[in-house]
This record gives sequence, structure tokens and C-alpha cells, in this order.
Amino acid sequence: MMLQVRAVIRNKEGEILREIPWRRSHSFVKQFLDFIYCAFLDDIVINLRKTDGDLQGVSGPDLGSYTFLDLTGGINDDQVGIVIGRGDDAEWNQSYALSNRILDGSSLNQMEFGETTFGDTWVDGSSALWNVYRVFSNNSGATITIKEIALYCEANDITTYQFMIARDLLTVVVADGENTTIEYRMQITV
Amino acid sequence: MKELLTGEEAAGLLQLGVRAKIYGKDGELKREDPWRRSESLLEAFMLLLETAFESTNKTVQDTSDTGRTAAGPNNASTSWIELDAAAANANFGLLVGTGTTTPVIDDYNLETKIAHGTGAGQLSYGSVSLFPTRVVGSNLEVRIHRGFTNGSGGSITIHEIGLAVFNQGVYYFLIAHDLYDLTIDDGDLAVIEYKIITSTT
Repeated sequence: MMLQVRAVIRNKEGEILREIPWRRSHSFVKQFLDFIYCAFLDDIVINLRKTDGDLQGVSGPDLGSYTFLDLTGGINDDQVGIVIGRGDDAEWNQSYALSNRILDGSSLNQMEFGETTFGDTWVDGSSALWNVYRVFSNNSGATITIKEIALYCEANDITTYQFMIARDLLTVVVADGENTTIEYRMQITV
Repeated sequence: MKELLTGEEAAGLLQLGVRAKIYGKDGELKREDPWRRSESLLEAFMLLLETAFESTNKTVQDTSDTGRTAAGPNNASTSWIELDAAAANANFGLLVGTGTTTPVIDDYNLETKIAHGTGAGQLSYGSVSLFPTRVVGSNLEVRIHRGFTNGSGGSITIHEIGLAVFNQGVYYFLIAHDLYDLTIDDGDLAVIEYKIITSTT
């Protein structure tokens, strides 16, 4: 299974200014495998490392978890879905967080987060594909350089926690007034 | 089957590896295959991941080729992609069969699944064992094992293997399907292993 990523930069009028073409993601991280393992066993609690670095027990689906691997980050939600940062720590499959997360907003070094939007799985020849994208708008008054992107999911029993399941280095320069669409594509090929 | 990818070729991929071992009646190791690259995660796996990522339900073909509403883990409060089938349960977990047709992305079942039992052409299914994520060099791995004992009185040749999951305690969905040739003599035990691997260069 392969994860790919691309970015498209547009102006306020929606015209495409620049594009970073599809490239292979380098970094499913440990928490993704942990979630899958937990789901395979179904009725166990395992400790996963949250985005703040602390371990948190997560219940398997059969133990009544309310959210599990949930990427549905809405508008202005900078903690779930596709998230971005300005850090450039090397990609590593045991990392658990962006190294310098960009927050939602219009102040210095902030970007406005759109809704995390999903496509439906489709089959193309011998492959099954699935896309997720998010628009980030820069109204901070200055250029922002995104250097890292990630997928943050939620899981909880009573309290909701965030966990990173993939992270990539990707440099995207977004001038004031521009926006960028960051898109992940998951592909399975037989 | 091809070799597992390594180094830069493997970076960021989520690979599925597979191998088999055969033990004789006295427990001696008679055959040990190297890890090979499975290339047949299926559309159903993607759809089931989608139910989690989007917190929704999706229609997925079950192992009887009937479209079923697969619940995601966020609203099921029951099994989502359960794989830890008990001994004697040949409905889900790691399954084996005698079909020889090349897998395709929308396969929904093994072509000819071998039933549990000790009759002619049957194998005794052990329980599915899972081993948590561990670090192996620059890889992370989750392993899945199942033993199959041949008490049928004759040799049995497996030609296909797969992974089927249990959803909502009701439906079975095939998420992986591979061709794999393995002859098990009467009285022998075959242990088939899958591993999910992700790498960083």
C-alpha cells in the first residue's frame, strides 16, 4: 500500500499558480500500525503515543470506543485531519508529532484551515485508490513556508486524543493571500 | 511472489510480507520459506479504512459476494476488522484454499476455501495469533500467524491464502488474497505468517 502526496497553490481568484506533483509519501508511522493491530485484536486496550508525546490507552472497536482512526477535521480544526508545520526534522517511522505545527488563524505564521475533505474509494485497473485533501489559506500578512505535513487522527473513550499516523517533509511556499490544497492519495495495487 | 522491497524502494510503503513453515509430526522443521512480498491487499481493505477515516459506513462485498453495510469503528461498538479467529473457525482470520486463479483487486473470497476438519481435503485450523508492533532495524512490523494441521490421511496442497476480517460480529470481508503453493503431508503442521511492514530509510 502506498501513500502519495501533492500540493497545489492558488491565488484568491482560484487560479493555479504553482503545483508540486504527486510524490510518494515516506512515512506511515508507528501509531498507524498500532491502530491496525488493536483493531485486528478488537477487544484490547493498547498504549499509543499521542501528539503531545504521552502514552494513552486506546480501546479496540469492540470495547466501545467512540472514535478510532477518525480524520474528520472540520474548518478551523488544526488538531485533526491533514495538518501542517514549519519544522524539518527528518522523516522517521517512530515519530509522533509534527516538529513545529502551524496553528489555525490569520496571525503571524498561522494559516486558516479548511475542512478535511474525502473522496470515495475507486478502482482504476488493478488498483484501488482513495483521496483526502484540505485547503490552507494564508491571510497572515506574510509569506509562510510549510515544510512538513501529516495525518492526525482522533481516538477516544471519554476524552478525545490526537495521534499522528503519517508524516512527510514537503516544502510549500504560500504567499500572503494565497492558499494551498494539500492532498494525500492512498493506493493499493494487486 | 517477489522479494520484499528494502532501502529507498521500501521507504514509506506499507508492505505485506508472507512466508510459511512446515513442521513434521515430531515437531521437526521440514520447510521454511523466505519472506516474500504479498501484492494483494484488496479494495475491501481500502473501503474499511475509509469507514474509520471518514467516520462513516460503506457498502462492501462480503465473502458471499453480497453487498453489506460495513460499519466503521466509530459507530459500531463491536468488531470492525477483527482478525483473531479462534481455532476451528474458518470464517475469518488467515484462510487457505486450493484455487489457482490470480487475485484481482475486487476479490471477495478465496476461490476454493479449504474447510476445517479432518476429512478428505480438510485441514484443522488453529487460532490466529497476532504480535504487536515491533522495531526490526529501520522497519516496524505487525505479525499474524496461523497453524494448519493435516489430519486428513492424505497430502493436501494449498494454492491460495488470504486474510478475512469480521465486521460488526456479522459480516466477513476478504482484505488480502495471494497465491501460495504449499504441500502438507498427512500429520504435518503448516504455519503461515503474514507481516505488515513500514520502513524509514
